[in-house]
Amino acid sequence: MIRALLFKEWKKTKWFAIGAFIAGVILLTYLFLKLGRSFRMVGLEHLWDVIVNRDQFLFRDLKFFPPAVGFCLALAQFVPEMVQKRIKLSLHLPLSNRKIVFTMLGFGMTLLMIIFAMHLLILLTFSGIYFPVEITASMIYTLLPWYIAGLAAYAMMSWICLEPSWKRRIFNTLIMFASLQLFYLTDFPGAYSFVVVSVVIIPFYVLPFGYFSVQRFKVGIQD
Amino acid sequence: MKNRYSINYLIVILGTLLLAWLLPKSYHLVTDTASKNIFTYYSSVDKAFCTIDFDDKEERLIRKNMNTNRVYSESEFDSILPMFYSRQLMADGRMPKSIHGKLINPREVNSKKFFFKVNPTDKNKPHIGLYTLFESMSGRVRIEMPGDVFRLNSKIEFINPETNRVNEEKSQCFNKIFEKRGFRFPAKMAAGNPSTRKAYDEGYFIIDNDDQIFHLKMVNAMPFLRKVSLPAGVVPEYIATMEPDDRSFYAFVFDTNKRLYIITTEAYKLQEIPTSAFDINKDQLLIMANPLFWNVNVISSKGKTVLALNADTKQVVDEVTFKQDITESAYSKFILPFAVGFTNANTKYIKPMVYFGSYWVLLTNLLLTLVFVFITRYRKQKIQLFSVVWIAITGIYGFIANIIFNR
Repeated sequence: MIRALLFKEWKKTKWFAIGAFIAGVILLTYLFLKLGRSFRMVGLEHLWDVIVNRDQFLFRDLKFFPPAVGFCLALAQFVPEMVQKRIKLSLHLPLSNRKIVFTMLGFGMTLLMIIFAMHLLILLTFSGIYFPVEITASMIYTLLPWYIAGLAAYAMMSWICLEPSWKRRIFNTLIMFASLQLFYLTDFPGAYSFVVVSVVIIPFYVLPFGYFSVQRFKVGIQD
Repeated sequence: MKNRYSINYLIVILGTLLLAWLLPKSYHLVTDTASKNIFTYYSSVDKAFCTIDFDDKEERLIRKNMNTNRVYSESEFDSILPMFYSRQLMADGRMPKSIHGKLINPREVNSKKFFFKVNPTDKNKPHIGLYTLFESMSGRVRIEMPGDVFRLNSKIEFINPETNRVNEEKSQCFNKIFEKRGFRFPAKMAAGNPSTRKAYDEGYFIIDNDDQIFHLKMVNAMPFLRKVSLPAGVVPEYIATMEPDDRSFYAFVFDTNKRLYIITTEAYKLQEIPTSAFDINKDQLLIMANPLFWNVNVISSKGKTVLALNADTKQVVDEVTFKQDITESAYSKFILPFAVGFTNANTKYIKPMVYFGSYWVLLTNLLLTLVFVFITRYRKQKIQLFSVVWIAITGIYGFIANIIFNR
């Protein structure tokens, strides 16, 4: 039954997932080409100097890409469920509601993590060729909060989509924007080094909220 | 249903913490004003501190001698602070030939005049452990990029940026001298000035794992490493290098006892620089030096203290303190029980911090708890122990979160 449920989720999000992956690859290719031009124009020594001594981060353009993907995946996955209250059908499957909701949310999170992991792998391979491990490590510490923001954006947007009451949706949206700000407190490279592990907790803390909204839906709360 | 409640509690907790972060932040956005920073400089002519301060009543800058309270015009003030305004005086042809019998050489003024500033964020910030070591004796006027950078892990390694590969030969050559001089890896910090826009290069001052300071330079493509002997009890915490025009010292050393030293160019002797109570992790240090006096400013949350030091002996000549009015804001006293923050002016790192208000707020918390109980009754809801306890602890934040999310 869970396999069938996962298949249904894949059917819903397949084209979005492929599109998001390709969009990420195009964005990365653009950034690599831009950097390649800088390598040719000013040389790698100058670029290393700018990164190390002037605290510049070369992949700043990636900043809002992960949350954008997170938002869109949640919309692709849960808007069809909430239109005409189709989620009722899923909830009538011979499985506990908790299992159904968490399978759907778990599917989305895993899909997102796969897309992000592939993007990061491409980025780190590029970085490993042109930059030493110290610069790559700083890059990871700078990028991770943004990619975790993508997971949090997905979890929060799912919560908003699954919420049956519009009034509550507004408050949920406020919580979402306030929480997402936590990932963008500064642009300084590596500023999250001490807290990056704690930051990972946020999307998983928020993930069950969607189940809470489904419970509210089940008991008939609506505007 | 039990699960439902526990998830709702998670939502309330998140909402509360976000409010504890955003409400005080919004309050500060609306109410914060700049703290007054009065320019203070020791006059070698008047032998007293002089200040420039903005007068709110007269709506203009007031330049005066702090001892006599005599107010000067702008051009008079130039003459009272000839060391600070030396360029203006030289341009006007008004630079004195001597001050209190001491001959003034304009070249000496230029070479011994410097500004040195250290903020807590200079120390408390993420940095990438790669360092550019210039050739110190290239024979060229302009400093040129060396074509590699070094790292200090279990040994020193030079890496070529164009190939991203280690230069084994150079690394080995430098490593030999590090071993010979008794350097203990890994280094705790390396301080240098990796800029080509300076008159000369003095390389790096490195604190090794045994808290010893070493001076590293590259001279004629060969390593130069020298241990700096430290007086007993001096454990370096932070070093900031400087290449002053008169080449009288190499660097400032901040030790764990919150004392400040300079490493002089006279056989690397450490000379203490008197300061008022100073914590590198919280306070700002600004030294405005001239051939006669060093003005050592320590700016902290309590205010600013300026010491005038004799430039030769570094003995304190005069001292002045400006206290900052710390007005306890009413908000924290009666409404906001605590504040959560993630950024701080003293560090570039993101760190969660909690600032507590006063005990007075417990009264408000109690009142809000009662209001919540009343509202819950009015809504004909069951009173939850969690909500009551949570509001009693978190006050206004927990109250708002519960009102919205606990229906």
